[in-house]
Parts: sequence; C-alpha cells; structure tokens
Amino acid sequence: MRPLPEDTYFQILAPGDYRKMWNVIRYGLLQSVPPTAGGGLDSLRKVLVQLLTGKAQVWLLYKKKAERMQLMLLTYQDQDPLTGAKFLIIYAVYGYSAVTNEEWFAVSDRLERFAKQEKCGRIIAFTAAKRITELAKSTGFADQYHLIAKELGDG
Amino acid sequence: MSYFGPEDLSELQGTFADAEAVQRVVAVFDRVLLRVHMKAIEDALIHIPEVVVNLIRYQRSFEFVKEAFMKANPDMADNVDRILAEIPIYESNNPGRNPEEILALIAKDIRHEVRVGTLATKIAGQTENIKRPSRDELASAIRGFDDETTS
Repeated sequence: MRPLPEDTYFQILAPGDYRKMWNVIRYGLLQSVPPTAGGGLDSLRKVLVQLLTGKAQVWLLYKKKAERMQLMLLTYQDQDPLTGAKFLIIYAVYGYSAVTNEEWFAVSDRLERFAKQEKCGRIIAFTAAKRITELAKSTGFADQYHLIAKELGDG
Repeated sequence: MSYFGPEDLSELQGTFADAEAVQRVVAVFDRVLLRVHMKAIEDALIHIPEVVVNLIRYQRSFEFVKEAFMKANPDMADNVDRILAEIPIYESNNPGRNPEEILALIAKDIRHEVRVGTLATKIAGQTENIKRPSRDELASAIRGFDDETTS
C-alpha cells in the first residue's frame, strides 16, 4: 500500500464525529451527491441518518500541521439487486483543496483495502469532477459506463 | 346441505315419477359427494404448499401485531406496515426466535432509527443557505482529530 505523504491523513469518521463535523461536510455533500439522491435539505438529513447508524461512511483527507482540508468522500456498501454482487460505492467526492496524484494513489489504496475487508468485489464511484475521474483512471478505475440523468418536472 | 340444485331436482322428478325415489337418490348422491368433497379437502390440506403455510403464519403475525403487540407498544402504531414487511427478513436473520422476540427486535431497531432521525434533524438544522466552510472552520475541524486515530 502506497504511503500517504508526510503530514497527510486519511481518516474515516466515527458516528460520534458527525455532530462536530457536520458543518464542514454538509456543504461538500450538497455539492457532490449524485442525481439519484434527489435534492434539498431533507435528502441531506437522510444521508446523515445513514452516517449516524454506520450504514455509510465519510472519509476525510487532510494535512494536520498545515491544517488544510483536502478531500471528502462518502462511501457505503451495496449489492447488485439482480445478482447480489457486493460493491463499495463512492457516493460523493468533494475537494476542498488540491489533491496530488501521490495523495490520490494512497487514498485509492486505502479504499481498496477497506472494500476488500468488507468483501466487496469492486468499487463504483459517482463524481462530476473531471479531475477526480482522471485521478481514478490512473489507479485502475474504468470509465466506460456513464450515468446520465434528466430532471423531470411535476407536470 | 345438498349438492343438488333446483334444476337437478326437477330433472330427477321428471325421470322418476316416485317422489320418494327421488329423495332416496338425492340422499345417496349427497352422501357420496360429501365423502368425495371431504377427501379432496383432506388431500389438499396434506399437500398444502409451504407458501400457503407462510401466508397463514403471516396472517397470524398480522393479528398479533394488530392486537397484543400494538397494545403493548403504542409508539409503533405508525409502523404497522413496516413491521409486517420486516417480519420475514428478521425471521430469516434470526432463526429459532419466536414471533414475540422477532417483533421485539424489529421494534428495538425502529426505535433506534427514530432516535437517530431525531438526532439527525437536530444536527442537520434547518439552515436554507449552506455556505462553504471557512478556512478557520476547516482548520478547527482538523484540530479536533487525535493523531492516534489517523492513518
């Protein structure tokens, strides 16, 4: 597993951390949740319920001494409804500041280890950020599938 | 109970002039048909498919939920449909538990979810305009982490 650069930490939040961290992560979540999430504050509250019950996880990449927040990821484990195949979903990715290739490689390795521990056969990610897509491709993610979404009005 | 309808009787009366003979024929046939009927029910009960047994069990669980369980757990009144949907899932995940224990497990989890939902609402707040956290807020969050919990 590739090491994190000096002073860089990649931490998974415990359910008890969300009370103090919510102001920091909710903006990132609002900016990055996929179109399947619906929208608005109630969706955000529902995501928080999943985090508090441990059904989903938020990871933060940051520099401790420099006190610089870099990346937030929200993950959860799911199963294909038709085949039962288990996978780790990177549901949301938000960058607070720049992430180097080296940092991403280390993050990717740790997510991979986590996914394997959870008996997931693959990692699937939602992101609208081109930079994240490019970084992910450099660590073995394939992007031949595309999620396309159309907003439907009430009428 | 007779298996003969009015048309059957009128046909028999047309065939047999003797009204008593008609009654005897009807009585014999009713006896035979009743025997056949009971045998069919017996066979059906013996070969009753598992799915029907599950339906009956589900119905019994439903009755329990509606009555005794709901009386003892009034806070679950809004969750009847959910409890019924969860019963087979909890039964398969907790083999050997009786219906009361299964229902208690479901109620415990629902109560936990309600508590978490309330906490989530409290934490999430109702702020309409969520702003990007400032550099100070981000730095303060980082200071809140202990070194030994990071990797």
